[in-house]
Amino acid sequence: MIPHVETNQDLRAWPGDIPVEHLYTAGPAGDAALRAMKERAALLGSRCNACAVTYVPARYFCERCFARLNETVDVPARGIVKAVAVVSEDRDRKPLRKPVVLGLVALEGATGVFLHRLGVKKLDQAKVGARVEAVWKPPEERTGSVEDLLHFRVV
Amino acid sequence: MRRVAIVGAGMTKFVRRAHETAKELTFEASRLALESCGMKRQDLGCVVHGTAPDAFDGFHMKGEFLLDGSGGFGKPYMRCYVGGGTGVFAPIHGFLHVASGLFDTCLVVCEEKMSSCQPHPQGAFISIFDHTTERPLGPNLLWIFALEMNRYMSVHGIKLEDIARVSVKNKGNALDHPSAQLGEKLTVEQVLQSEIMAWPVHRLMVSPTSDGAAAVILAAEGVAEKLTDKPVWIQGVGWNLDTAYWTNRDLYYPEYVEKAARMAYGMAGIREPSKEINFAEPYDPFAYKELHHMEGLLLCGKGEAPRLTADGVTARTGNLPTCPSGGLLGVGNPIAAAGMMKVCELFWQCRGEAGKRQIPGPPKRGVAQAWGDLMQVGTVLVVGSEKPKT
Repeated sequence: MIPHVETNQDLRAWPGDIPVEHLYTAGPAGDAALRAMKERAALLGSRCNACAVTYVPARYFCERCFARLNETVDVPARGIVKAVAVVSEDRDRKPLRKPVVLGLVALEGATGVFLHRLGVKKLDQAKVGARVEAVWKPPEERTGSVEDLLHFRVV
Repeated sequence: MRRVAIVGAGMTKFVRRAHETAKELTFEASRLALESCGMKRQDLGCVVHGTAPDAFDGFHMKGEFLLDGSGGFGKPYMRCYVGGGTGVFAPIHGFLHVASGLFDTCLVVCEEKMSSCQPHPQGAFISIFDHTTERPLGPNLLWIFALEMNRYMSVHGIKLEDIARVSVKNKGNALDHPSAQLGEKLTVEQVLQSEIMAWPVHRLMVSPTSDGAAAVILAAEGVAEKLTDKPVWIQGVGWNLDTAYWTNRDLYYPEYVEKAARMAYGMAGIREPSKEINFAEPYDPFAYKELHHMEGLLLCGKGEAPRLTADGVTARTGNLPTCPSGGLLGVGNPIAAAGMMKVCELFWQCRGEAGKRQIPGPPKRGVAQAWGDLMQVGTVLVVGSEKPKT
């Protein structure tokens, strides 16, 4: 019979981890989209005319009709807020110094919504239906990342 | 069960680091397989995806993540996974989907992007070992395969030269594979002079880490004949797992591979594998594994595989060619995709479409096998140009 341990402190445990880090390639379409952010402060999308879909950021293929997507389009970095979340604790339940406001933004001309932060002075400005536009970092601070877009501000 | 055939195949080039994302590699292989039999994604009944540890690509729920590239958007879709055995396990799942009568067609695609994993994918393997008894020693795959290789050599009195011949053959065969990563003309001496990584394993006896994807299309009898005039029929499938307590068995022989093979051969009506099978794609991540697996697949007696290799029986022009593709040693080893590459090779060889790699004939029947987890899983697929009787 296996003896039953009554208190957690009496258990022998081994610490361990999975010691890997990752380096992800963006791929041909992802590279183009990231370059557009860095070099032109622009959101690049891919258009599939057959499916009448515009993917943002740009994609290499259409998951619907399985065609390679060769046509890219600049999508205006403005739109309408479709959903809001106000995050007040981190994932370990520690309170954040300042709440993070997240929004799903329906960009003009794009299919679906785009996830980013909403930059608002007062929380009640972050509302579904609000018109917003992108605020980009200055060119010298942009690295080719979704973080080149600082947040969306209400207009 | 319904009869099921392979009607199309496709694969990307295997490379050390692909520019394409994991999704894009998967898409390319899927697209090539669909195009090879004139099908569209919309025609597919279902999709099966095979990929090894999430830690390689660095995405948890990799199956779901790769749905779009796999052509599975809005379709019945399933990811399956038994470590290195996945590449042959996935088409077995696809077979079950179609043989059951649930679906007429199935795309089976396998992918791995190991280059994402830094500094080396070996880091992901530390956590496959028991955290209490083994992990404190810092084991990796080279270690345990060095132990298994040594055990295999010791029991049968096999020499390093015998093992090195497999590297020479497979890397040489890969020179004729347009998707190969490491095709090379080598001598036994060059293999033996390569760096010793964990004795007795030498650098040139090990497959590389790779990025790539490979896919096949399966179709039911009645549908397959409309998609191609040369369907390659699945005649037998088998899989088997041994205990994860790998120190509790004698590593000199892979019993689980034999059990998987017997299951597949029973279904295919094969009584004498060495005579009734024309060629084989045994799993060869390490050179000794091809020999080990030939024995597990009952293609020869225990300890006899090195002799067949030395005598040229397993060369492309021999009586029982093994790894005519170039294998994992030569074509590369994006884990799940490597096993699927072997299934693609069976398809192309049986149809006489293997180009410079073509075995004279073309051969009527071949077997592919993959292996993995904690040296504990065998997955086996027998295919041929002849429709199975039952």
